[in-house]
Amino acid sequence: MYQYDQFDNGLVSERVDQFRGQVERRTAGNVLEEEFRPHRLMNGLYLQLHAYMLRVAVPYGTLNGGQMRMLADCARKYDKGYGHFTTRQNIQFNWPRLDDVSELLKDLSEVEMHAIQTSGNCIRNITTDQYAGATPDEVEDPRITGEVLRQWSTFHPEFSFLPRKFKIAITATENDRAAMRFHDIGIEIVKNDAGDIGYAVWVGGGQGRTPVIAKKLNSFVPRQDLICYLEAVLRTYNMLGRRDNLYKARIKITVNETGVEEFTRLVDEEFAAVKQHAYEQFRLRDEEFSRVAAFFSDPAYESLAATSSTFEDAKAKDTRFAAWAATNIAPHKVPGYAIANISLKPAGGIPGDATSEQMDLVADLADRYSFSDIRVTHEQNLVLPHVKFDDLYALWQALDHIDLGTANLGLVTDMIVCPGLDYCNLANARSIPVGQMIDARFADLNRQHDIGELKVKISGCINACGHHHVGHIGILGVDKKGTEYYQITLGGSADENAAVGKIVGRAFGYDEVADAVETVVTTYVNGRDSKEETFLSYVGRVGLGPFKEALYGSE
Amino acid sequence: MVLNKDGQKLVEDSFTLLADDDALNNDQAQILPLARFLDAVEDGSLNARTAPLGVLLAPADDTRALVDHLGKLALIAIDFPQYKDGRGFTHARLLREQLGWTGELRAVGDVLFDQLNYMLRTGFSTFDVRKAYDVEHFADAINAFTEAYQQPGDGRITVIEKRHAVG
Repeated sequence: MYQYDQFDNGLVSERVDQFRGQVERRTAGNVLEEEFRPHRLMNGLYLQLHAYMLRVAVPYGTLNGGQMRMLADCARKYDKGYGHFTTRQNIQFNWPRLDDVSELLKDLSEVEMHAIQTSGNCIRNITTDQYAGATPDEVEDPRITGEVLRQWSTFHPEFSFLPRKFKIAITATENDRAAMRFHDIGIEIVKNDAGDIGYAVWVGGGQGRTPVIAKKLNSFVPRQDLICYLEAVLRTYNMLGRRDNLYKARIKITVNETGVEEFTRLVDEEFAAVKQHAYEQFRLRDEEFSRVAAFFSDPAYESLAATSSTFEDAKAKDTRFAAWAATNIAPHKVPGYAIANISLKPAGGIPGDATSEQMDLVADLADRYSFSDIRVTHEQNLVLPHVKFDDLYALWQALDHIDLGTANLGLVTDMIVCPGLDYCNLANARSIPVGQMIDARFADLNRQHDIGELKVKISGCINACGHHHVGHIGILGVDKKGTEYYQITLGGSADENAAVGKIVGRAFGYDEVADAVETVVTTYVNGRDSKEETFLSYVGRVGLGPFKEALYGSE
Repeated sequence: MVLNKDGQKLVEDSFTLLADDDALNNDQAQILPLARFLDAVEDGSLNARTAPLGVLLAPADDTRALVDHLGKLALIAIDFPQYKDGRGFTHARLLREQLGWTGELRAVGDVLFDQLNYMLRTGFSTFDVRKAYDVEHFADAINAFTEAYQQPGDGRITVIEKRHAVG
């Protein structure tokens, strides 16, 4: 993975000093909370319902063992012994004291980590495919571009006070695991007919209260022009984006109100101007791309047979392991290796939470089995991307020992759930307890496997942090005169077949949600052609009718 | 108080910002809002000008409206009515990078302490700093970061260039 040089290190440690100065000015009373707010937000420090929350960036979702151990240490030292992995591939600490945050950031800087641009109206941490560098179907490792853009966007002097926050995701495969079409900018790494690698750029996707699927603005930006092109998009948005209404400030609204053709024309015009006047400064230089790419070259894989008798034998004798292997591993580009997914959705747990002990163990296992490489997924799980089939059983046993071996990846209990009213001051309704009721209802793992792939996503307000719009089953908590109700949507999807779920009918009470989900699932299971027909295909085929009928009857 | 990049008070600053109902005076250093400046150019009321002239860009103004008029100006001021409104940074870069403005570029308005560094980097050369505390600690703010990844407007050698410098 990428390693900082003296320049990267210098910037991060100067940032630590700068933040320390801000906290001191605040504590000394030279600065009011109102003035301190933009500074702390630029450093990922939020004030939540009960305490400060610090969001730490995990660039393109990649961590090494040492970094994971430091996160475990920070959770022990400054928090209550756990952290929360987020849908932006980051990690949040929910209980740090303001006085400790400067020290926490200093500790993080020792392992090349920081909280830069994890909040505020700037370019946020850039996300990508959690299988990057390991999956057989990618054009190239998207983390290289991710790192180049991390540097470009870090302390960008023009784009740190945009109309609203700005999220970029990168994918290098047709199977979009990064929800690229639901980002302000989605970058798809592609190869053209001449064999050159470049970028298709999608703009204006997003969730929140107005879910929009991004539009493709340019189907091939040559590599050396990428930064010029992004500068043109960001500049056009900075000047045109609405600043009069918080809810209309994202680029998706700018694109819709301007019209995609006109927006494209404005971007193209600015792109031409940038190239004419500042091309040398912003050309993505081959030598810099190659320098960064070298950090992401393949680890020292062994030459192995494609099949492993150790693995096959273990599956035959241990059905729990066989279940895990059926859902939690994905194909690797190198024979004899697999991508192993670690579910952070154990029965009864809080989705995305990990204790210090679990983080330490994952770090050790990554060192032992996966070249010290760990990924955080936007679905709030972890990945060890390069594990030998021969080692999978030993890995799973170690994980299982500490409640990390749940065989539910992509199944009904592998939910995205926002913090909701239990933590968040924007929420209208609880999310986590609703998730836990559904989790308990579908506790039977055999049943989960029989149902098959099914993504349930829960948000506690219309800001949609729980991605309910793109849930196969989406659940949105709303407040009606002081009572929590939950609206159910069906058929959403965040992948290459991006779709926004449709509302099935009137909302359900807090105690009715699990029953309603059960009814939806039963309707699907009883109605599908065969197990090959997934929930999404079924909804695509039959529409909402059978679900409405089952949920509401003739009411 | 207007400071230069080194945090020194501008001793010779005699510009006043023209409010809507103030009269244009061709013998006083004045800063005109863009619309008023363009009108004055149009109707010839600047023809007899002897004193230096400045123009003030508001966030929603079109930077490129100045393209034919740079020769008439001694100063361009960019207004930040609220710190959250970052359009002034784009004005600054367009002026430096695309319009070729090399004269004084002044930030005025609601400027956050930590924005001073970004302002320096997008090409601002003078700063209307309001708070005494910020004046005292100006150098800390402006020098918060030794290096920069990007090369927008201040002519510094970037990290990328240093990494690949020949020799």
